Amino acid sequence: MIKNLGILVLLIAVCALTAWQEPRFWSAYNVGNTLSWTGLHGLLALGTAVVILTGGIDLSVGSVAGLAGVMLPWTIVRLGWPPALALPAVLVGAVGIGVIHGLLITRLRLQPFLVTLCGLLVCRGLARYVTGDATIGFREADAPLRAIATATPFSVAVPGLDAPIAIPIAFLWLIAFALVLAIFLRRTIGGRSLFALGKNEAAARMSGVATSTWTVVAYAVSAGVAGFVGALLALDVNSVQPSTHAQWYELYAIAAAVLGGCSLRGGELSVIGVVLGAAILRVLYNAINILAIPTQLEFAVVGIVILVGAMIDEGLRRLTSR
Amino acid sequence: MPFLAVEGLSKRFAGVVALDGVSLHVDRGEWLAIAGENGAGKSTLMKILAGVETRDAGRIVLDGEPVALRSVREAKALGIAWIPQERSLCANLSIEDQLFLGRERTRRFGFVDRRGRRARAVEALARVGLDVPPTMTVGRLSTGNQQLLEIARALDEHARVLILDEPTSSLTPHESERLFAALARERERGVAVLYVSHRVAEIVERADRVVGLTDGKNSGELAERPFSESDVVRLMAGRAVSAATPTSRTFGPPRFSIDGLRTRRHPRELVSIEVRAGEIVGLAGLIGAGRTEILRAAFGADAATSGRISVDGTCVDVASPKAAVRAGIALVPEDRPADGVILDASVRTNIGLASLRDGARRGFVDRVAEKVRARAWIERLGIKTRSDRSLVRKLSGGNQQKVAFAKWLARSPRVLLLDEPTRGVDVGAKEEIHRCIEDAARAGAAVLVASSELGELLRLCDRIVVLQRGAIRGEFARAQFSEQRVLELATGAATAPGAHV
Repeated sequence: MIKNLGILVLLIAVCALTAWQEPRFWSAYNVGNTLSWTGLHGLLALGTAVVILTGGIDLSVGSVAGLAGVMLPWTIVRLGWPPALALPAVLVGAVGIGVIHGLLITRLRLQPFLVTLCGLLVCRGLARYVTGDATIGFREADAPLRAIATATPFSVAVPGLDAPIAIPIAFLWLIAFALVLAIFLRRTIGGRSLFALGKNEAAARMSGVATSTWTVVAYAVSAGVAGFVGALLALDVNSVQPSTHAQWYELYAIAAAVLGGCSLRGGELSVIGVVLGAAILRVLYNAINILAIPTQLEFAVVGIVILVGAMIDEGLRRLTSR
Repeated sequence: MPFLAVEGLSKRFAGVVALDGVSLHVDRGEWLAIAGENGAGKSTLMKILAGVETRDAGRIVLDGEPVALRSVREAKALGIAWIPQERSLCANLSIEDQLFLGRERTRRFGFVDRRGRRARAVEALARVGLDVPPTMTVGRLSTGNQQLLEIARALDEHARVLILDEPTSSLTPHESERLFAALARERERGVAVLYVSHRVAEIVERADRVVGLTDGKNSGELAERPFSESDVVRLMAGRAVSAATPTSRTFGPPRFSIDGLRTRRHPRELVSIEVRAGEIVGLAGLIGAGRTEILRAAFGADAATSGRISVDGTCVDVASPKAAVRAGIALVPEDRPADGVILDASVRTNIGLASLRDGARRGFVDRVAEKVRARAWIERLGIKTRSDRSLVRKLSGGNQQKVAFAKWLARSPRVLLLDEPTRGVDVGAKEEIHRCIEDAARAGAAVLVASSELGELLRLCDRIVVLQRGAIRGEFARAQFSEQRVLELATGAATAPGAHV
């Protein structure tokens, strides 16, 4: 809880600093936009965090999102599938990729880093091959489907803002998934099993926990969420470039998870923390844009912030353990 | 004046006495065997001499000079070399790299003196009779040759006292002969050998003298050759065991049976054991006798090559611990921090871990039941913890072990498998754990307990099965319990099977 408070303070500090430097940050449009991106990246980060909870890593989420983002318009536009079939098919496919990752890791005892790195390469390659590397988009008729990514179901009036914030649906997806995940992790046999195997896989197995099954589930969740995010992103931008769609998003996801308190050793996950972590990364990105900091510096800024965060965390831990 | 003399050596670990005023001495070129059961204090003695542990009290005199032995470095500099039972070599290094690891002779600019080193490696290997090229990787050496390599390294560091811990436990007879030949040559050069082993036959054949240890104290000495195997065994047992008092439990029908089990470690030995409801059966044997392997295979933690496990007459396919747990089998494993408990989870989580499904509805854990269960068992076993939310890591060893027990007792298992149930536990907690094992048996569980502490088995069990090198060598009913006879069977000093029931 204290850790989450620290992350929240960091988020508020970054927001306040940016708003003080550039009043445009505190506008309904910018806040809505940041919430939307936080939604997409938060979803990815939560999915990845479930894998990190087991002590594994998933490097493939960006590519899985990329492949899903390509396959959705491709099945609808090129193959003429009805959207009601295409979307579930894409999600099932994404989950399938995660299951394959999980089985390779649990049955063949391959290392998660290696397996998901190969997943990253294979999915990106497939996405580019299927479309011949050509940009692909949706048709006019697909507008109803696009609404699941672009709608703003309601607005919230915030005093001091130029206009009511139109809450983007992507952010609502994040809230919904975060709630489900939090309840799953805290209350269910599956959640308990994931925590137990992340903290000590051998002891969990020796207590009768189905460690292999739950490890596969973790990779399936991560890939499934990545597929959903890839689809949302494609529907939102309506122009999917196979080679760059959701590229490097796995790095943002891992960074957000770690910033949100996950230990790469496994066994630790706070849903709120990861959501706040993803929000910090998006606000930083936004700040770099609107403060006219050279965008080339983006990665450097993100890297430094995470490093400083990790150093403060480690320092606090040493202080309290003494 | 003896070359190495130890006087009144004492050491405690967290209140447990490991060594209590032990004295011994060894001369140049002498071969001294130290005999004692597991837990008698032999390892602690070796570790103190090797500088791994420091002593609480006592004097150590080497070559007439009192020595402090505060670090491994100091021990090595004085010429005391310890060859532990576990090999600690880097499998992918070359033999010569391994030989000089961490003590490279360098020329200018930090370059390794390759030629000088090669010559020295050849010489060091020849000294122990190891005829292999120095460029070969360590991993390709047999276990026995790896042992010789460690000795070669020790001698190259000018060892004057060699401490060997169960050196032949994983060697073939031929490799053992080579090792003994090499040691004989070094003895002639004046190297003193401290030999710690359970192999009674080897002690009788090789040692000049035998010192016995029991419960951290000297238990006697065989000062002159010749001595017999039963002399050595008597020294190891150290004390006459009072006739076992019969237990007051009554047994039900056969509850648990292992039938024709073969483990990976001992694929040629078939093991069959039957335990009745309410009965406590002990598995005795030396380290490496296959106790842990049998328990793990019966619990599905390791795959067995063959065999049938049944509970209450029904055959159970123990493909995984999960399947075993479902059939009512529980295992409190040997390695507590690795397999027994989750150190970084709360007491409550640990106690509830095996019972997640109890009372669960549609996958949701019954959290109220979990809390009540944890508190009840904390109370019942007297687990000393600030609250049920405290991390298990913060508890003492004994209380951690009680948590590992509570996790299973909460399920009222039909079969309770225990591997070293009181290892690293203080005397008080040990007594409490014994009582809780007896309670489980009284409640109808079939209990199979492996322990390297014979006294524990003699106190707890209704029956003791003796294992040696993966095979059952004999079985004793409580009325026939004798530490001496169990030890004779376990060490292979007696070949005839003991009193069969």
